[in-house]
Amino acid sequence: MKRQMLDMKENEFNALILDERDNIVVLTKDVKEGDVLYSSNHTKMVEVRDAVPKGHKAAAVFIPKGKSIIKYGESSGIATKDIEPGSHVHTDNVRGLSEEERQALRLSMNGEEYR
Amino acid sequence: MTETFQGFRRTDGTIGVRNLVIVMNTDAELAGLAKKMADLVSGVIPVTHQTGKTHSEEDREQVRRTLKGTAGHPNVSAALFIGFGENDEAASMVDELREEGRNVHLMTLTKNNPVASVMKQGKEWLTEAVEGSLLEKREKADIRELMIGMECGGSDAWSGVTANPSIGSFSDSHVHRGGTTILAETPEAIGAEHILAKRAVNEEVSRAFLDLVGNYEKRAENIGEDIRSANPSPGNIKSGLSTLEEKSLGCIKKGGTSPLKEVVKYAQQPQEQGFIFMDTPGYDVESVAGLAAGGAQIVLFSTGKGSPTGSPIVPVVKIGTNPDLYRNMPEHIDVNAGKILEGTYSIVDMGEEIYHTLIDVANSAVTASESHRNREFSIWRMAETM
Repeated sequence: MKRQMLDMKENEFNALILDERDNIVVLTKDVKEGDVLYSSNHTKMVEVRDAVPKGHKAAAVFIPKGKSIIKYGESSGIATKDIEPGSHVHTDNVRGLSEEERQALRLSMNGEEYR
Repeated sequence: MTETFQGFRRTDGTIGVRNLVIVMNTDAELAGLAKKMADLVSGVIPVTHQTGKTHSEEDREQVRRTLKGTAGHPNVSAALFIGFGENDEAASMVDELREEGRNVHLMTLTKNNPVASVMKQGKEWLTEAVEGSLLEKREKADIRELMIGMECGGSDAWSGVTANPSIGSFSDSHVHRGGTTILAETPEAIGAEHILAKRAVNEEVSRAFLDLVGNYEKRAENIGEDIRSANPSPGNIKSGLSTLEEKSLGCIKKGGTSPLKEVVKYAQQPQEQGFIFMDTPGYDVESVAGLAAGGAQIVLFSTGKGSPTGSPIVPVVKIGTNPDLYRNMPEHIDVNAGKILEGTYSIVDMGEEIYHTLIDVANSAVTASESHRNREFSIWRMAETM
């Protein structure tokens, strides 16, 4: 397979890290398989596994099935499959939280019961 | 960073960033008359609406709260109400505002006081009010006295990536200094309400917030709208949003990460300082009117499509979400958060730029919506008109 690396200039990037706790990045440019994700602090991250349109998310690290997709430092959904780094993270491999899961997150404040 | 700004100190101790003379109708049928009256005196701004007396008790209170908050707003030097009949409800509102030291007046149209006479008296009162306002001078005020509303309208795929987190960064910084910010738009929080509830300072505030979201959802269900399952919309999914919580997180990101101090009703003035939530609809014009009536002196407004929405009484600062918008509609945008996508600005840098812009605006810099005289005003109602 032919590698197509993006020729990134010094101050360019294609992936925005919204919060340091996040396990995903938001793409600021369209990327295709074999491209490399460059984050907004100009460090090389992972190789892209699927074509991902700008504005969409890619996994920055391995996200096991059943674990949260962390965006803005918060759970924005649950992985329905194992997600490899550099993969497109979207409706095919993410579901929303169930009411029980949302309750559990709400109740987790300072270990106090909120109900 | 500058810790002060120059504002107009009111007798009740509040501080305004503008010094306006306004004329308002108490009832929908008087809107045309109020507009004509404003035309008679240069510099007078009409604040008209289509609401009236024939509403449910809850809506009557909400309309009254909005009108009173608007007339008594710190950005307003003087306000004239045009009422109708012998027992216009605005009379008690005017009495209350006068007790607080505000320059307000009610003129009622009756069979003994017909239109021509009301117009003549109104012109005289407004002329004097404008002359008086010109004598009022700006004085030094602490930036912690600024209460900032946070709103979005015409959102796009970048709203949750650039403009909203930047406003959030500003909000955290302002709250940290001791200032107050108000996040609005209840339907936008649906799906991420557990996150804001978790940030509440105590159980009471947490429950008040969840009740307000629950009530909004119930009202929406009553008219056949299921907000939870209608989102994210097919358009949202196409632009990269995968779940309802992700979409809502992007909206509430305007509120940063500060603890939630208080939850207030539409157009209600907060008692606490810090990060506040106000119950408003997603409709931006009604939401901005509520934030202003609640005492916000300036509203930050993120937009991906260049919504022109302004307010008759508060400067609305437009934060554009993407570089294309800024290239295509620069006349509608005050701050270009799209710079984040060009790699030249971080979210924190952008938050600081918003802060600087805000202080300039507080000191009298004219916003895009003000220069276009975009002065939309509409009051949120919850129920049927009777």
